Amino acid sequence: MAGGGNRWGLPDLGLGIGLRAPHYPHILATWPEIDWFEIISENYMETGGRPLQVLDQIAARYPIVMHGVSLSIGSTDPLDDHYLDRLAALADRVRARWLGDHVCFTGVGGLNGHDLYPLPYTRASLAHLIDRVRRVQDRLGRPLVLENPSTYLAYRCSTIPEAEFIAELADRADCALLLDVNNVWVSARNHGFDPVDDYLDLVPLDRVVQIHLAGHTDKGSHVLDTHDAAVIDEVWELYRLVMERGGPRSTLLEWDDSIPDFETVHAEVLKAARHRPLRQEVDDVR
Amino acid sequence: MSAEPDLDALERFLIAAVSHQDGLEAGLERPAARDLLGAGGVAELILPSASLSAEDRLGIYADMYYWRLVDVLAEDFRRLRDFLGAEEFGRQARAYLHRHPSGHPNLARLGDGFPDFLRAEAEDLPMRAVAVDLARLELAFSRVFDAAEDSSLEAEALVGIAPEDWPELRLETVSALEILRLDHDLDGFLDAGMPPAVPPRPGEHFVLLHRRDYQVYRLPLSRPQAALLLSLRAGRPLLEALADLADAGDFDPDRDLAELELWFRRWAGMGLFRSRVRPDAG
Repeated sequence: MAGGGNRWGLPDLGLGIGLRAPHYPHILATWPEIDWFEIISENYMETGGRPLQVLDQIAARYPIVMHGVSLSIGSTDPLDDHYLDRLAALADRVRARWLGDHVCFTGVGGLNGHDLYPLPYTRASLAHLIDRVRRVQDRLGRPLVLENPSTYLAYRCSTIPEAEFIAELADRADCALLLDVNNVWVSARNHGFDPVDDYLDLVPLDRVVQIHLAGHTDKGSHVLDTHDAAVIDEVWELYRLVMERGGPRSTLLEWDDSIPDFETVHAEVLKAARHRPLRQEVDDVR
Repeated sequence: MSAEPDLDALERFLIAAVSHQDGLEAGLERPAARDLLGAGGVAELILPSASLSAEDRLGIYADMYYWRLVDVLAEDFRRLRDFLGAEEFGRQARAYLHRHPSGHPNLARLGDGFPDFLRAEAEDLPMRAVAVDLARLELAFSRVFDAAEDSSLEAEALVGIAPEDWPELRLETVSALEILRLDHDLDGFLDAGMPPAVPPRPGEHFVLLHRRDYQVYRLPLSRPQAALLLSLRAGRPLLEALADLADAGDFDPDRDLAELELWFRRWAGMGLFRSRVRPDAG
């Protein structure tokens, strides 16, 4: 297998965090020692102002990965050519190491709900997704890196377990995967499956190029993927298992609400070093 | 209802159900949702969990729809939210999102139609004219913040223009610039705390928003200043723009020439122009 533990040879970037506006001043003032940043693609696609100016400076010094929330790959609406053009332009501008989105839909009939809505896991929706992923990859000229979503409902018509659905999607569309271990834990709680036996065991790790970590909110009756807290021990254990089975992968901590200072967020992702296999040198990608 | 609805019908069901301003129950009455439901209701489409009913699970998405989007609008229209109060702002924002749902992939564009909605559709909104002015100002601020960055013309470049070239000169303004005509003087009002002790004074008021070094600035304009900048922004030659001012009684060449020179020096110093088009360039 090529470097990075995945079939495309995409590198292990090490431990990074999501780039968020409250951290701009700290980053620009100190240029901290951090391996890489992930951006929310859409935050930089409609601006020519300060966010893009800051991103240009950061992209000149750190590897950047693009992670979108509006591709709506599962929607029955036509693919948005204008959106894809802008996505490709931004990827070129920041020399994105890769770009991706979520296995979900965000709207239909022209409406964008700006949420990651769950898809029914059926043969028909799988065929729909495979076709669209292939078309997007052909257009962008690179593999899409698709993330397993947190979900709060399951459709009665679903016939394929989520992990199997995503594994077959990755295989037949030949796309890469972003494995969000917090999402696995959140969905396991919400749907009552075992996060290891029913999920991680089925994930094709040779297609996983990136891991997401995050905190969440336990409401008792269900768990919400709120990205507003530290990673819990159970999620760290899932991460450790993935590292043990698949080797080191680019790892990213998301913190999107009640965002603490940069050092706190950075310290949280650095905990991941304890769970990675004997630390190898991060691929030299700068 | 069929045993296995197709993907499009299921997606339309979910969006219809979760995006009604009056909540999930109202959303389920929409045709796209109702048509898919049989006698067994939501549970025919969605599985319950160990602790939640099918309706409860769908309701999570309905709750998040407005929570998330109203929050985005509240960030983009902070002063309006402070002016109206969180409850009234939330009521108006939900009505706006219900009647004009987002169709753009970027949340930064969510509020593009909010000022027009308040002006045309929010009939029960107290002090609606002030709210509209505030919303227009905050939307303009966002547009200037996100506009493309241009290299601006140095003031010296204007000084060097031959006198005979000035009349036919066209000056292109930078992208990060908005000129608004408001129905209230919001200057002191914005600088005071919210909610305000006294409402803003009604009356025609012009405001320039521009960006320099990635910071957005607000500057009051006189009527002739605003008219002149708007004409230049529309691509009118300077001579024609000044003639329009004179026709409107806002400019007298004999009286106001020195003041005009001061305006241009100041505007150039603020970086409002990105290039000049020579007369022979058409």
